Amino acid sequence: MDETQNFKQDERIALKLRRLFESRGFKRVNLGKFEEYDLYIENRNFLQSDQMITFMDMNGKLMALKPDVTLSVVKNIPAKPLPTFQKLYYVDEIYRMSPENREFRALNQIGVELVGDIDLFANIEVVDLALTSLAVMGERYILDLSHLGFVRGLLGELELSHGKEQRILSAIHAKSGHDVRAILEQAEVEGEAQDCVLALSQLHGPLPEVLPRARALIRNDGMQEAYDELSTVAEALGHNGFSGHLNLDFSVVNDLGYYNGLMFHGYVQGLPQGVLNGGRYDNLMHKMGKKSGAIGFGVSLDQFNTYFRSGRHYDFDLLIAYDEDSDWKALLAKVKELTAAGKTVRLERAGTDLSQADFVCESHCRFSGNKLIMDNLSADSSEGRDEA
Amino acid sequence: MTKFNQDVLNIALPKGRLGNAVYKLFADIGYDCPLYFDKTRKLIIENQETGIRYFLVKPSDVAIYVEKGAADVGVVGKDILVETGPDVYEMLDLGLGKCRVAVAGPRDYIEDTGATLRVATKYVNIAKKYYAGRSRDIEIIKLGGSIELAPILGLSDVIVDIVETGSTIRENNLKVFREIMDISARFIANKSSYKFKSARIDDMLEKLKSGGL
Repeated sequence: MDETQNFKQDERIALKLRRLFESRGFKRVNLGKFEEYDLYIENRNFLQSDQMITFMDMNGKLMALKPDVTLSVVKNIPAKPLPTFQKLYYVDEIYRMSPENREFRALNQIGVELVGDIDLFANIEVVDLALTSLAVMGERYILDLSHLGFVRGLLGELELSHGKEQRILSAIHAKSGHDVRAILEQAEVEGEAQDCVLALSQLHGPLPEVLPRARALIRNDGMQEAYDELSTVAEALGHNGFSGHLNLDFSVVNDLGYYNGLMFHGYVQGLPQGVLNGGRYDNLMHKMGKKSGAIGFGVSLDQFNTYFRSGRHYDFDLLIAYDEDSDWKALLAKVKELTAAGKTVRLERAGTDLSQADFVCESHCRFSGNKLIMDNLSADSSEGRDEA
Repeated sequence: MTKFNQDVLNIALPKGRLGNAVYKLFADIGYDCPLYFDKTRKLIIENQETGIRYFLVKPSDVAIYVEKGAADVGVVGKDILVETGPDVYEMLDLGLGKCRVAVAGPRDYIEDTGATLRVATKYVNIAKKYYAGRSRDIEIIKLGGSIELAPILGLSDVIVDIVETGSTIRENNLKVFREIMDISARFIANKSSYKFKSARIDDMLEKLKSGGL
């Protein structure tokens, strides 16, 4: 019996992900609902928005409802590194402005953060957790993997102004080859260098197939290092059954001031937008005065209830109408017996007008004296009648 | 999950001249339907053999249909992409519907740099960003259409709007002062669709690059 059968999709997934994270030794943290506004304003580029729900606390300090959990996790990490890794996960509501209707929404997020002296296996483990999480969410899923060291290594060679670099990054993010070319031409980057950036912006596909094409773009040690990391991670995960689910895709880029190393986005078939976002963010750690590195990801759970409907046409399995003459002991025992067998049961007084009810039951029955009597024989009524 | 039928490629076209031109381009490379919108009142047309489905939507809504996955791919002007910033892949410049977003105003207008500039536009974000880059204090007057009317009636000093041939501007005694950006139609794709229907979308892109364009 699936204990979560009556849960909503997002609750079910949250539960499974929590089990997954705990099975790998990640500890749950609960960091509260709000932080000082300053924390977010200092890092507004990390959040990519400065819209927040703010309020004044009792001392006149400006506070904000959390638009993000990672910043709170990082804030609470001791500045001096601990000897072990810190492996944390959270399940929290965050509050963000919806860009379409410019209203605040509470969004459910679950995520993991691995903090410490990040080595190759720490990278592999977090990417593995991301892929395993996606497998929980849908049958067909893809994780797009990228490496900012690779992108930075290539762009670094071009010596672009900060503004042009930002524009190139957003054109790469949109897979917009024509814009990448236009910006490069404006910056007078031509020939082989232009070809390399264009190739990088268009490079995507199953990791083992596409890796050789990435290799051909390597121009310096930084890119070589990034390439080696990518191929080691790909090999370890391919060896563990994820080969068909892992894409190389350099359009997964983000602010280089906060992120470095691996970055990834996860997609589940049937959900129009990405559900999983993650990467290595040593730069954010250093910005906030922490010596360790960190890698993690977050899953937004809100799309699931919208796009993955349960397909059930009723709320509860069985409606039992009882009357004044019912044997209460027998009725309660019956209810307990049915629910123990996994049924969901709704009790109402006999004769109640159900036309206004805010629920639907798959089948209806009456409880009279000490017996259950099925009303509609078309429904699965064997259990009830056996008793009677 | 019929909405996400694997076999069908959903294409959102912008209603109007551009949409018709794009359909012709797509039909020429094998993405045609037995009946086009000029012959039917249906909102959706499809070719069941090739698994193609088209729908016409308001040009400014195409990006929303694609971002939210109701359409896998679509065609939209660069002006709308810049204005609304949807989270989609912008995969190809189709080179159709070329025009510019520009600042225009009365022919004899002389800017009073000491006063707040009143700008009438439907491109609020583009206008704000453009003037912020020039540290100019402006007041945005958001209009839905007939933008050219605003400076004529004194509702605004200048407008930020699309200029195609410039004839509307000229006929109304207006003049283009500065061009902000070049615009053309872009082929966009939903990010998730591009993961799970990549073969079909790539195939279409290849045909567009080699044949149609």
